[in-house]
Amino acid sequence: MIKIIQSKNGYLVPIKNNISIHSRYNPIEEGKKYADRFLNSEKKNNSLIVIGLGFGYHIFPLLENYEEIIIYENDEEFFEKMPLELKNKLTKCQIIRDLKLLNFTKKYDIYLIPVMEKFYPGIVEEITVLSQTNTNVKYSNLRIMLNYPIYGGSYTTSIYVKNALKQIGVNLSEMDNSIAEPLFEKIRNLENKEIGGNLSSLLIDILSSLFWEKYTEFKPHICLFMAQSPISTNILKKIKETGGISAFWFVEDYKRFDYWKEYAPIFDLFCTIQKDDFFAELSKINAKNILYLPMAASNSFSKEISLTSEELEFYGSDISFMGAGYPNRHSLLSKLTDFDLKIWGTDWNDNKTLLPFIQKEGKRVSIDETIKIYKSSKININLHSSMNFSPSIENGDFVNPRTFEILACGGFQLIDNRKYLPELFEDGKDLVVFHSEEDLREKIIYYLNHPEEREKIAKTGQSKVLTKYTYVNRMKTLLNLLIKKYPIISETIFTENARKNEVIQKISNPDFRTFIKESDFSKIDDLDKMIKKISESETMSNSEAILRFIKTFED
Amino acid sequence: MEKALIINLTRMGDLIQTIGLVKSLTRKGYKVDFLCVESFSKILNYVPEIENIIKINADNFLTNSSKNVFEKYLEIEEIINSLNQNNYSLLVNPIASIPSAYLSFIIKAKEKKGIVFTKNREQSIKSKWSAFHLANEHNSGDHGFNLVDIFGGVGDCKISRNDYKINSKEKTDFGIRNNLPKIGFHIGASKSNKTWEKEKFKTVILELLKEKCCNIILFGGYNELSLNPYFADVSSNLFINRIGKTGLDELISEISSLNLLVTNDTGPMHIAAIQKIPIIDVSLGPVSLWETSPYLEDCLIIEANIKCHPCKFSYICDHLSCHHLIQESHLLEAIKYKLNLENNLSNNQSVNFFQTKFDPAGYLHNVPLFKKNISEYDLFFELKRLIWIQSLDPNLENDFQEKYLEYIKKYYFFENINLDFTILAKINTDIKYLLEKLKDLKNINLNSEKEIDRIKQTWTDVKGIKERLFNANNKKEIYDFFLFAKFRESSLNSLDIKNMISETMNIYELLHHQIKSLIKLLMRCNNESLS
Repeated sequence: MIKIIQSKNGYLVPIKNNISIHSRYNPIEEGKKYADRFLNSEKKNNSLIVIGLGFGYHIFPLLENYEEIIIYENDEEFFEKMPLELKNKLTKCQIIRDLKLLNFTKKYDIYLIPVMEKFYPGIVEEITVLSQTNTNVKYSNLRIMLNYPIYGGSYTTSIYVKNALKQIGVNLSEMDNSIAEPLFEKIRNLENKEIGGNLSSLLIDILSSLFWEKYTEFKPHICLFMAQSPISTNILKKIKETGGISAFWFVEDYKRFDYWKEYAPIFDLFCTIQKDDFFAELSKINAKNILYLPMAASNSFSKEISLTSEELEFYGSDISFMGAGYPNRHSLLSKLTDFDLKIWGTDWNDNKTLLPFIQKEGKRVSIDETIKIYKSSKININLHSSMNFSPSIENGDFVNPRTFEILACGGFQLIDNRKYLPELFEDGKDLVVFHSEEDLREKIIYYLNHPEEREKIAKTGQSKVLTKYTYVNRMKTLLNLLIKKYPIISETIFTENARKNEVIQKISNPDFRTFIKESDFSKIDDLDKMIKKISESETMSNSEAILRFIKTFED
Repeated sequence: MEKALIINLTRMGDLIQTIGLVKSLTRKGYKVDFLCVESFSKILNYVPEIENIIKINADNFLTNSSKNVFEKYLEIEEIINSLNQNNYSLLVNPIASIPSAYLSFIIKAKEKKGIVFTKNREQSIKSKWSAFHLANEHNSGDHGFNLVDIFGGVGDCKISRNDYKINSKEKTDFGIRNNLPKIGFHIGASKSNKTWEKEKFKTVILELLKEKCCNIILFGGYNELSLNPYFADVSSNLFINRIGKTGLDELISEISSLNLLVTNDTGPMHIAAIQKIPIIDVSLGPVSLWETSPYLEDCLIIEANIKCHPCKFSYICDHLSCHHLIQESHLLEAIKYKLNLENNLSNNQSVNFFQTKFDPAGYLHNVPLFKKNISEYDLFFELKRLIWIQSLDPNLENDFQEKYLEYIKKYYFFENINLDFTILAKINTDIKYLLEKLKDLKNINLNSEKEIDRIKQTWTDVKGIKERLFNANNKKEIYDFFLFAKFRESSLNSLDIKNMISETMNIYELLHHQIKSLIKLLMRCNNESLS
């Protein structure tokens, strides 16, 4: 709801959520200040995107300076309540509510005054991601260091991220903190929680120091930290001081895990699987560099596997659920026992009703087996977890990895309604959404009786995931954004490459110079790969001997 | 004048042990250049015979160096291009090291000695002494020759004792006004298995100071600074602490001013040896008293009488028995013996005292300080050493064997010897059979189609005999003879088959001769012992 007040010098000023969009004293002067500052420091292109309409005071001074101005405003009320004489000043401008309407073949300046950051957190990143124009940086130029958590669900996600980065072709170094798991387990189980807390901090310091050691050796352009990966704020600051860029992918529910409060403002990019309310919270703690980056599926889920008849028998069923036994899942699945149902995963064994349906005695299921289950089940049920028995369907916001993984396998799924689901998948086309327990039951019966429709939907969903929602897609989005947002990355790579090329020109052996050029090693600087490639020749050249000398001397 | 290049990319101690080779080559008429690692190179400034010292900055090649691969490549290429303008007649790579073997491949020279990579990416052994050295790697370096002699041998040089020296520096008196002998201690702070415990060294030092029989000067570099607090409570006007106060120049000068240096196997030990300063070397862990004992006559070496010593450098020992068996009293007695304050050392089965001597062929040798009964192991060792000298040194006198046996008998009693050599005889019969097959192969007309089957059969026989010989477990004590043959054979590269066969025959004839000589010597020792 927008209120309107009059400024001291008589101009109308909108107020939203008790925040004054323009100065209550002199909105014209304030608008001019913002515009002048922007023109002096940011103007590069002939087209401008303005984030937030307000009543236009910050836009008017720019009208003569741009050929094209597009105003992004998703709250209609501003436009409705804007005085006509002010509206008329903006006839040259196009006002849009959907960023996808932008023509991304053009280059735009982006104008965002401070007050609008509160209403549109993460907008700059979103526009940058949508623009998806090629950077000048080759992925193979990039050195990226990936920090894993010690254990848990996001550890698996880290593996997928690693595989995706390798597939993209970056030069990757990993800090796998699972080496600390046994010790961490012991510390967690200590009775004295205070001592346990102190020891945990100590362990994080040690792992952070190990990270730093590797960092100084590898000199990555980007450090990517996965959810729950141990790192001290000290080390994060040191990374900043040395010009390193750090990103974090928070693949958790922000309401359940609140450590983001301490870390989010420090990172150069903080990626989340929730937005809206979470973005508002992040804005409050001054975390500005944020990106909504939903989960994904690993390409490995789409690998062709042929199941034997015994496997089909073992893994297949009319309906299945694969995952941990959260309370809401117990509640829902207990009502489906009249179907040919199989339940896979852990934490189910306390439920007597479901006992006959639990497979493998409730033991953990491997990824390969998961793929077999998704492929063999006629209907995969995907119910997001909740600690409440009731309601079993909570209509939460983020979309879990299972959504993408079932589809990647080519499986058909019935999924509970989620706020962000419609922007990712089309109901009835890629998957099918259920809104209540009764709705679920009806849809189970329907789709069991319509196998062709099931298969069609599964196929469409699979195609969409494998085209748009793999970890490779996510990592490219993240990397492209970082490269655009932080010119230091491309500058550093440019300097490094220039230095390398300068050196390569000085090398007197023309055959080696040709070898470097042809194999593009000037960008990769990987001694092991170079040796492997150069050793393909029948006999050892002097160049190969020098490379081998360097390698053995290093060792 | 012809130019020679020596490559040695190892530490200061090894560089010092290469100085003999430098001087020998110079005497032969070469102008000698030396390629080394910069951080250890300073000692070579004391060798005026070296024309050029070419240095590689090792820091640039570490994995965390700020230099990229191409900068490293360029640096090496520039060094190589510069070296290749010198038209070396001779390149010597005396160390069995892979990096230097790669450089030896690239650097041009008319003749190359040591271990060199070939274009087929194989290591070629271009010196009998290198083959010997490699063949004895499995012995943990316990094979009877000092690196000074080995390096010389690789370069086809016999090191003269006079060759082994550096330009002297002015001596210092440390400000000492008494006439007591000056004993230096270099004890090392690192907790490596080749460093005796500092507590034991301190006990010995305190005892000597108590007896007021000598001045003690404590040496150490940057790595030993942590010892300073430990010795801070030693208050005696006979004690001088020089830890962290000497650069190389001062160290050389001060060591040259000592009457005796007590140390483990360290760089300063070799500095003392090359300046003819007497040494007591406490030899521990992976240190082989054979390879790295001080290259100077009449030095004293203390080692534990234990089977596991010397161990391998990579071995992580959980008992350090070789340290514990050597007591403070042993070192104390040894020091007093060297100072002529005592005539004898306590007889102790747990510890061996060796002295360094030059054998009749002029190679450094370690013999017992006091004459003792020769054990089976020692006898085998000494006889093999004799055979090795005969295999490697082409310039021995005719009566060398007699002289050598007489020399050994000065230090060992040859009593109750009854060694069984049936297995050796059996092995030698097999080798003889192998040689006959090789001779057959040599005499066959290899171009004749009619002979193809015979060639194939004979070649299969040869391979079968070799496989049997090399796989048999019965030749533990002479395994080095076999490896020597194997390494030399693997380095044959003649294109002509007949030549290859001839060269192979030469190799196995030598092996045959080595074992035959060993059997003869054992028989003789058995007989002499009986009589």
